[in-house]
Amino acid sequence: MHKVLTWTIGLLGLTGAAQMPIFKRYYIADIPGFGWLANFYLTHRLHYALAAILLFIFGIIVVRALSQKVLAQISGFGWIKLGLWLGIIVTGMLRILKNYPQYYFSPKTVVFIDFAHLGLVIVLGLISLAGWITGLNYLKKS
Amino acid sequence: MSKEGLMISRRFFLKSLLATGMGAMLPGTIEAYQQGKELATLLDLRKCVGCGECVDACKETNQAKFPKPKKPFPKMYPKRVKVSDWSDKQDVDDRLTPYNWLFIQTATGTWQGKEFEINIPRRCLHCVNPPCANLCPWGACLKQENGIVRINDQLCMGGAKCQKVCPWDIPQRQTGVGLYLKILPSYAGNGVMYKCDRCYDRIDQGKLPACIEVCPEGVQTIGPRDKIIAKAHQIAKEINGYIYGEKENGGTNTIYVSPVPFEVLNQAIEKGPGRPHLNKTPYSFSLEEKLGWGVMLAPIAGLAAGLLTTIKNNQE
Repeated sequence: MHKVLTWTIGLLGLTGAAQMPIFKRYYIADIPGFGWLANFYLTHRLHYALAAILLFIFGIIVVRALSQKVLAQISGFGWIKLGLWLGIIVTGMLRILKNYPQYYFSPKTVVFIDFAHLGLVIVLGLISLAGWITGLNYLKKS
Repeated sequence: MSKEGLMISRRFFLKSLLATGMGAMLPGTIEAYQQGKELATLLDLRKCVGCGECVDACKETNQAKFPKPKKPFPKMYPKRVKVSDWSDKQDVDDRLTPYNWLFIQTATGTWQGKEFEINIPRRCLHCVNPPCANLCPWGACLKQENGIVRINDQLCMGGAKCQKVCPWDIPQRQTGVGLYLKILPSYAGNGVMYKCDRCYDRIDQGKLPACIEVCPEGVQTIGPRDKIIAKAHQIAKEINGYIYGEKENGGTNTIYVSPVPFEVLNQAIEKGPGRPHLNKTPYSFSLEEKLGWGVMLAPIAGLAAGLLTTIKNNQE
């Protein structure tokens, strides 16, 4: 499951970045096999599908963590990352709801959610990198 | 009134519309406006003579919103990034440009043994669920509660994603204006996108959109969406006619009625950049709507799966 999670997160990042019109501009979509990165509808739908997979896996992880009483072992660094994940998930779900015609979000709310989703992903990425370099982990060192 | 854009009183709105043309507005429009409900426009193509008054009025009314680019444009990287410059071609009025948000498409041909010439005012259709607004990465393209879809030119970076995801390629770019100039002008962004904003500022002042107000033939009517659609069906039934815009892309707030089928008109019009088609257009967000519910239910399914496997493991 760890491998599936890693790939899912990686592809979410890639398809998320593909929502900006950058891959065609910077020739990434010209690389053989990567033309799909310039297809906005395809990358958007993949992003949805990958988000569903991620949330399904997170659901399983939450139950296991609670049943194995892992909460007390989560480090301060871990709680920060979990908080960022929660923000990303909530803003992501709000973005999905915004795309239904029956739910109205004011323009200012839409801009806030859009930038919050992107900003939180960037912060999570940087913090994860910092954790990888410094050896910090979700769990307290025993 | 607390809703964004609803800045005027009911009495002022009514007085303004009486002064400008009640015939262009259906009963119930004021109430719909007050309640922040979606307004739609009906275009009766039997009446359009192609005079172009609406095109001129649109240009004149929106002059202040037009881009005023600074030249020379910053050099952009990589080389494939194209400049979109219409600033020296502001008089072009036979297609959509950043300076021309409405134009007349003319279709001539023969239908049921009779020759026809149908003039079609074309602009943004203001979709009920606009992909441009849904997919803009910055929220620069927005939909108002009253159905107007417009682009915030203070936030737009000119990436043109909205044009690519629009089934009709409506938004048009002008390089050399906008936020991108203040960030990384050579590496990110390319200007600002422009299109019909259904005179949202005039609507806020209790006035009709310029193209509706000025039309000498009364081609356009504005009203609550459900009433506009009912009126369109009534006209179509009377004339054995056809409707476009009601169901295209899941529904738009621009409803055309024509005595000639739109498939025939589509064959007869000149199409291309800035000249949208009249194809049958499936709902672009149909799959997203289904996938979206999948995402919402996924964590619940995950929790259930986690619970079942935990119980099973405990039993073992």
